[in-house]
Amino acid sequence: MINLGILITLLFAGYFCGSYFEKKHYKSIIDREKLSSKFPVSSFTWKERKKFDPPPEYEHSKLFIGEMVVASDYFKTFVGGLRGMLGGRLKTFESLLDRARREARLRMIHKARDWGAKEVINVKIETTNINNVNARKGSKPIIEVMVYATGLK
Amino acid sequence: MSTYKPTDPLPENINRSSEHPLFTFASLLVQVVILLGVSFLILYLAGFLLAKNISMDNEYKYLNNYFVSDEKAKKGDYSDLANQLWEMSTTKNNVKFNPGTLSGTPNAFILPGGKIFLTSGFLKQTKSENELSFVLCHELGHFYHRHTINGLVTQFIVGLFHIVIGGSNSSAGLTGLAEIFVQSSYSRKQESEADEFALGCLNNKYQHINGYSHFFKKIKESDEGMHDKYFSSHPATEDRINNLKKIISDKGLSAEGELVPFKFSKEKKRSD
Repeated sequence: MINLGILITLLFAGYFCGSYFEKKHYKSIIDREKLSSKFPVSSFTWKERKKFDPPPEYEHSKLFIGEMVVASDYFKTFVGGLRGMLGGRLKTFESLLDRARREARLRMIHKARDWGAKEVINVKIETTNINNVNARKGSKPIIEVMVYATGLK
Repeated sequence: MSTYKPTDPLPENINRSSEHPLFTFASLLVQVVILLGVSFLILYLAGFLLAKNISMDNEYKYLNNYFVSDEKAKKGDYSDLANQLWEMSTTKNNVKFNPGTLSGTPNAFILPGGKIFLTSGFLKQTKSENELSFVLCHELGHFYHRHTINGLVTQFIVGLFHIVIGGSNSSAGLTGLAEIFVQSSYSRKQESEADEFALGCLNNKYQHINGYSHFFKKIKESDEGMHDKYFSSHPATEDRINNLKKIISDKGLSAEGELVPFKFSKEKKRSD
C-alpha cells in the first residue's frame, strides 16, 4: 500500500511538473520561431542551392551545431511503460522529441545569425537515445537531438 | 530555375498528439488492467489444475525434506501427537509429521510437504494439550485440503508473472495490488476450511472440543485491531470465532470436557 502511495504521488508530481515545464518551453519555442520565421533555412546542398534564381553570392561559410538533451518525467515514462506492453503510438514521448528538435534547430539558427549568416543550408538532424527504458530498471528515457547546418554570408 | 521563399512555421499538433495526456493514461491503464487480469486468471487456473494433479503422497515424498531437512529440524516431542491426530482423522497413512520448533512470537505454520513449525512464543502460552492439538490439527487441515501445494504453485505463478513483466516498473505496482487481493481472499477461505478440519480432528481425539478458544483469545489480545479485514491473510479473529461457533452448532459438537494438561517441555528444541 505504501508503494502504491509513493507511485501515485510520483505520478502526480511528474504530471504537474512535466506539464508546467512543457507548456513554458512551448511558449518560448513558438515565440522564437516567429522571430526567425523569415530567416531562410533549407536542406539544399550548395550544388542545389546554386541553381536557384537569383544565384547566391556568398563569400564565407561555416558549420553550425545546435543541440538539446531532453529527459522524460515520471508520468510520461509510466505511460510509456504501459504503452510498451500493448504497442502503438507513444503519444506522451512525441512532445519530447518535438521540443528537442525545435529547440536544437533554434539554437543552431541563433548561432548562425550571431555570426552574421544570411541563410543556412544543408540542415541535418540527428537523434540519439542516451538512455532507454529497458536499459536498467528505473532509468528514464533521455533523448538528444543535434541539428547541424552550413551558414552562409 | 526556381526561386526560394521562406515559409511560415508549421502548424502545431502535426508532430505531436493533441490528445490530453491524462486521457492517454486512463485508456492505457484500462487496457493494461484487462490484459494483466486475463493473463493472470489463465495462469492461476493452470496452476490450480497443476496443483490438483500432484497427489498428497508425491507432495510428501518430494517436498518433505526440500525446504528444511529432517536433520536440521530435530525430532520434536510433538511428532507422536501430530501423527496420532492425523491418523484419527484421515485414511492417508503414508504421511508422517515431524513438527519442529522455532523462536518467535506466537505462531504456527506448515510448509509444502507437511513440515509443521511451532514457535516458542506459542508453546510458552499454551496451557493444555488440547490447545496444542487444535493448532496442530489446524495445520494438518491445511495439508489435508492441499492448501500447501496450492500455495506453492500460486507463489510460483506470481513469481513467474513478476519476472516476465517485471521489466517495466509501471506494471509492478498494478500486479502487486492484484496479488494482495487474490492471495488474501483465497487464504481466508483456506483458513475456515482448516478450522473446520481442526474441530473435527480435535473431537476425534478427545470427544469434545474444549480448549480451542484459548488460542483465539490469545491472538485477539496480541493483535487487537492490527489487521485490516481485506488485507490480512488470516481472517479477523472475530470472523473466525463466529465461523467456528457456527460449525460447532451445525455438527453438534460438545464444548464441555476435561482439558489434558500440557506435559511437553516448553523450551525450544533447536537453536538455529
